[in-house]
Amino acid sequence: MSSSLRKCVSLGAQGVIVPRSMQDYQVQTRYITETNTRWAKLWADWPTLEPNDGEYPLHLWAGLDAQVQRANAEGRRLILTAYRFPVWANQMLENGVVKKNQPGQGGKDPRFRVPDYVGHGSHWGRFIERLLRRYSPNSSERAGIVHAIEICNEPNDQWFPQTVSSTDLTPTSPIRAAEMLRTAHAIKKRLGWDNAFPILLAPGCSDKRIGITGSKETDEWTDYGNFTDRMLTKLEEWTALPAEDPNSFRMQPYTAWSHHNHLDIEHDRDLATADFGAKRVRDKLAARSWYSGWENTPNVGNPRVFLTEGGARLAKIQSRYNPAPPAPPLSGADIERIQKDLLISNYNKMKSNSPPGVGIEMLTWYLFSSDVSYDTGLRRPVPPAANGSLF
Amino acid sequence: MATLSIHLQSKSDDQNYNYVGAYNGGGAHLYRNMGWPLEWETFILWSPTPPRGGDKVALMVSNGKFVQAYNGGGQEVNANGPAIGQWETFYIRHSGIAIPHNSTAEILNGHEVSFQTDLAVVRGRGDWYLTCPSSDAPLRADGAPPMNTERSRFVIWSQGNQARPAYDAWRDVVDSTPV
Repeated sequence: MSSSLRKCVSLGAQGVIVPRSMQDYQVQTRYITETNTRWAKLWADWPTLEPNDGEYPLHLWAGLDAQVQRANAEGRRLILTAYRFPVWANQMLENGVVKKNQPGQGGKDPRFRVPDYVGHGSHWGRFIERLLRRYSPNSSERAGIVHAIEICNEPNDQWFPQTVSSTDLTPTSPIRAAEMLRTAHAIKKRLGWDNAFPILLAPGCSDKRIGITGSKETDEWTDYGNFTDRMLTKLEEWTALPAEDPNSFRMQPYTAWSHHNHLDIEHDRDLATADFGAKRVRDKLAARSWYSGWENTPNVGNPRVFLTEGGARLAKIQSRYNPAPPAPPLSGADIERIQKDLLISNYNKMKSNSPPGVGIEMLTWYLFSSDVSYDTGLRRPVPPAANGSLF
Repeated sequence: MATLSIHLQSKSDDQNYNYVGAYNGGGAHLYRNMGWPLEWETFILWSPTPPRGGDKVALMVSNGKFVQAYNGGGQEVNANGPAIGQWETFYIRHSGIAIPHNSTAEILNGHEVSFQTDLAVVRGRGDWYLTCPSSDAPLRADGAPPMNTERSRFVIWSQGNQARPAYDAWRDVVDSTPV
């Protein structure tokens, strides 16, 4: 067994949007400590932390600072995931009114529209630099320390648009994600921290997949495998440019690929080793001779993947594992027991030094549900009648 | 004072999940929601640890404001208190059938409680309990004592209080990585 698999629990973005609420690290530190979890994931929700251009609400930044400082005091490592885009920065405002029904938007929140420009000098880059300056261990301006900044979240699913248009399905979202990584790299290098924490993580794809999620991609989502290929191809193109070219890209030692693995866990019982999403992604990285990154420099060919979100959704367990009639359907207790079994099974596979676990650096699980329809939490969101201490 | 994330379920009509919420996350009135408790229906209970019957507490809403009994009580409450003062302070009391109203026993998950305003005690008012007048009316601070009406009784839930089996499994796996 490998000893390189880190445990991480994710809190919901609400803990930063509303400090002291249920998903605030400080409120839930007991459970994180109790489970001996050494990494936690927090969110830097850009629309919250910069609601207007150049406006940084002090109490909300202080709320995030306090969570980071509490984790630091407890010796816990943090991932900080940059989340969403304010409408003033993502072309969703027109004459002060938020636009609706944009290409590829479907029912998505307007704050999931990825800005058209995320390159050098962009508003997005400025936000990432602010995070780096505030939470890098080498920064003299730091308010706390995070050990990883994940620069985006589920760009293949949450973002829109995914493609040029609903009829021209030429992908655009992997290009934006590649540009983001290049921008973040350039900022880190300019600050002189390219060989130091925090690790830059990207892209944190949702594991939506052709054949399981749907029969084909649309302008609203992209298969994670295709997204990974397209993003890597774009980065590879930039590695061919001279290093002094501002559009060039070179891997940095404190960079790693991140991915989400709900389907791997939910399908764990009958998924062939080669079909684990974590392994498929890692194989794609290994196939690129220039890809190095975290704990892999200078010896390419052994890429590392951080699984920064995962878990078994109770609703999916119910639909997938319910026995055929006339057997009675699974009870709530049955479903939670299967959730536990899936967790143990997947954890052991990811911890293994052989496929599909080799090269997997982290497994993350939500402590609570952050969405009613997406309940994967280790703890129940609203308990049924039962007594016990409130704390 | 410690803080705890909670929901309050009204007992005045327990055939549905009547969670108390702060309209718009704060800055306005309190109401009852007929569905699942989300952000507006989440309060941060500021209390001693652990809270006991008769303790003074405050209820913070999701935008950071506090539930306020304007003028100390006797009218509609709001979620616009800027900080914990006398108008934002309530006595939390046991209100379930099995536990005496004046009990100082620890308040546990699922217990029925009531909230009497701080100034009700100062001014000798026996009413001024947080109350749900009807299903769609804003909450008020002029309710009768909870032994007389279910409208002044609430079930307190600590969100995430219960572990699933996966929680124990997660706890039991050992992470010995260096970083």
